[in-house]
Amino acid sequence: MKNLKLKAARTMKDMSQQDLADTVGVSRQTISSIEKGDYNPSIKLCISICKALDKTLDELFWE
Amino acid sequence: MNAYNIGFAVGILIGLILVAVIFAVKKKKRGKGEYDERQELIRCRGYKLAYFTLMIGTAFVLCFKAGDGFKYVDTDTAFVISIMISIVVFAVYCIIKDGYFGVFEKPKSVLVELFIIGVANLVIGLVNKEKWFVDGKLSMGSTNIICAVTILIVTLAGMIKLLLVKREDE
Repeated sequence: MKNLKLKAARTMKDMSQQDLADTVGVSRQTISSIEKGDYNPSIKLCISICKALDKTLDELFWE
Repeated sequence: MNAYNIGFAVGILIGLILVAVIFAVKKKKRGKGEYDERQELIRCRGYKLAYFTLMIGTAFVLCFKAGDGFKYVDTDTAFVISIMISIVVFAVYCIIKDGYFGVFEKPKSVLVELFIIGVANLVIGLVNKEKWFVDGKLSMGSTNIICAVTILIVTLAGMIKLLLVKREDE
């Protein structure tokens, strides 16, 4: 299932996938895979993404 | 152990030392966390696929060895080919799934390095053309050309992937 919340939060922050990837220390393809719903990130990576986008886990990863 | 075997063993040892030194220097340059968690997962699957490919290849070669052997390839070379096939399986799987190039790695420079190594092997292989076949069978003298083919397949797969990513980005 696509993670549209993550994509929306990233766009709101005016960040590209590469910018977010660089901030959290992963590859651009990993961010792309998370947004497409092809990969379930670890809780550690979820927290890093939330911190980078100033969001909570609930806001980004809870259905 | 004859001079040929000693030379072969020393060659492999020097190769391993060179690879270890290159890896150590690269790791120092880039720091920790070369691959992210998704890439590590992909690489694990790649290693699994390569492992089973090697197992099947080895079993296949051993079955033939138990019989009359291969008609056009000697047994040692058949083992080398099965190792190279497993390397191709690992590399191509990782390239397709975006797990081959590290987070801080520049795919283009890696592909250029691979291309240079591939061409170097190709040239050495072509120089030793007369050693490819012994008694009508592909022999260990063709190892360089087998390595060249392996590396160039991986390079080609990487180039295709880069083009696809570029097209996707556009």
